[in-house]
Amino acid sequence: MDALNGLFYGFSVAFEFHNLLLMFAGCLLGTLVGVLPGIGPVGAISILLPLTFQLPTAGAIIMLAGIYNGAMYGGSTTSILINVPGETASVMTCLDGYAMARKGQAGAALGIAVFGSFIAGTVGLIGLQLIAGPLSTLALKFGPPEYFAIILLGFTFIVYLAQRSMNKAVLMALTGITLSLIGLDPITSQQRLTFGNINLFEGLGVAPVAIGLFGLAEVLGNLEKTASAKILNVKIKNMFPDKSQWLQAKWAIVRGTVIGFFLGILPGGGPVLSTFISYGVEKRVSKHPEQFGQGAIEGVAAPESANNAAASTSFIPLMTLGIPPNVVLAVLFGAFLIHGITPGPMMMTQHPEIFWGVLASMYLGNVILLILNLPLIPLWVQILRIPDKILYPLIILFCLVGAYSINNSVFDIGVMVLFGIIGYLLKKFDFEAAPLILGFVLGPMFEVNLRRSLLMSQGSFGIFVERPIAIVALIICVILITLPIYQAIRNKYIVKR
Amino acid sequence: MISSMILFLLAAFVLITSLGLGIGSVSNPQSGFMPFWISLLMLAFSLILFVTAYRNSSSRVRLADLWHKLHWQKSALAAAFLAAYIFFLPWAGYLIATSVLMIVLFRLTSMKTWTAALGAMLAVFFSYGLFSFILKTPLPRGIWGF
Repeated sequence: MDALNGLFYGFSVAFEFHNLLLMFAGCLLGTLVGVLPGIGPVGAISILLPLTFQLPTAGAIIMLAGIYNGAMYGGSTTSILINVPGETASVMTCLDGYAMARKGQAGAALGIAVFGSFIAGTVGLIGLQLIAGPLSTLALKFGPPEYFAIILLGFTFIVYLAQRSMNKAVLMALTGITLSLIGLDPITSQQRLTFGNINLFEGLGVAPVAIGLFGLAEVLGNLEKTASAKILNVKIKNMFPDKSQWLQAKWAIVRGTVIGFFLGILPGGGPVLSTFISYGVEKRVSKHPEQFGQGAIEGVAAPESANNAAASTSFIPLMTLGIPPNVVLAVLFGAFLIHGITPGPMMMTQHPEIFWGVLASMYLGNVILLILNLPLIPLWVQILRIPDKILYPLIILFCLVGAYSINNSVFDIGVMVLFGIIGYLLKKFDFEAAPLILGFVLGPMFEVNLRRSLLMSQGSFGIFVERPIAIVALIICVILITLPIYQAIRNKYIVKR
Repeated sequence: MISSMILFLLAAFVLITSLGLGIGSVSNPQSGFMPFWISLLMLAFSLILFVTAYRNSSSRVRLADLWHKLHWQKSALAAAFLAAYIFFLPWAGYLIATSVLMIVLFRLTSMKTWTAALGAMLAVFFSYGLFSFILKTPLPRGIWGF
């Protein structure tokens, strides 16, 4: 099926009444999650995952994709109105968005964020539609050595692009891989690290671990805070940016889209990183960099466009290679598996209704989100006024029932609570949880492909050098590992001189 | 430094376990192969973290500073009650155990007792209805059968 026919087929799936309803529900819930500070898209998808168990697979994934995209749209509202990002990808929007709101331009800031998101999200989807087919065909030729090298490259990128200490990111990724080893050996079926506990034979579930790390941990962290954010008391008007504002923001939207497009595909990149880079680029190319942080409209348009483009294109490695490039997609990968679908190159041919259905629903979702976000802003502002003392216990309740309902197991609640406490402590000690969950999700694939490669080559590591894709991936790994070491030595040398 | 020591101990434990599982050889890797190499890497990186933290002792943050000027007791109590909930849930059942937990959580967020009780009832019955009747999830019933 070519891209155009596939898309038409996808629209026929997406336009089915129940799928439309699920997409709308996903977009609505996602925007709500994005608007509410304290719980991001990872926690939201994990917590709401059980709601999709009774749904048909295509509908379930459509709803979860809607939540993801909705959170990307909704995150800007809190950034602009209360200077608190609804989720990490909206951190940069706070800088100029809040400043614009204080100057009485909240409407324009919210408007440009929504329009920028719409344009970038749609461009990202076009990219997904065009690239997915050829990449899936190429991926069919991949064997264990290629997969091992690509996953290793993913880990290297995750560590290289870590927002804090690289050493800590490596440790977190390794801890994640270690946790993924719990259960039966995928090749010999021997028990590993199970302590004879029957609940651990199938390993730890992605959802309880993710709900704990990104849902409960967030609430535990917020519970101890002494002050809550104040909503700016401004009248929201003129949501449609005027001509001069469009002229100011147009190149920021273009650049943000391009940056987000490529960083979304990159393992370890994704929406969060793209916002930081696009903001930095925008400030650097601007003729008036001193206005950044004081309410420059480009400072809102660029990161908001970047995070939505990245949110769309991050589906490319997941749907074509079966490799989740970031933490949200790692949880979504778990959701696919729970619904009996293995994302990867065969998905397009074996489950076209899901592949094209999800893609088409994301196009429609973008339009729905544009409609939801512009006229409903006053409603989202009211939701922001829900006191924390009501919100936090309810989030914990959803975490508990969400973790339980995956396998109807109290043990999973225990896992969730344990990882909630671990996640809370990780934050305290300045460790990032994202490399851990990615290591946890990619760990089994990493191990199986390494062991299969070694079995194929009878123990020769030459197998990784003989394959062009594997060798290219490994060379990039070596460059990424040696680059920071070289820079550190160079900096030391400069300081000494 | 504490975090590096915890990770070091975890890695050491996995390393010892992997030896018991059997590492095999490069041409025929066994169940302990991956845990062995991953734990070895973890040992190395946790040592690097420890040494780095030790050498930068001037910039080291004291443990108490991490919880300074925060209502850390609230988080600690919430975690403790959640741990207790896991043990009581199979015995008391979803309705009772979750109602008690929700009252405690609402109280922790400084809600008045009667409001907390009302909020807890509403939240528990709503979640019970949603998961038990609409999503057909069999929630734990406890020794009294509800």
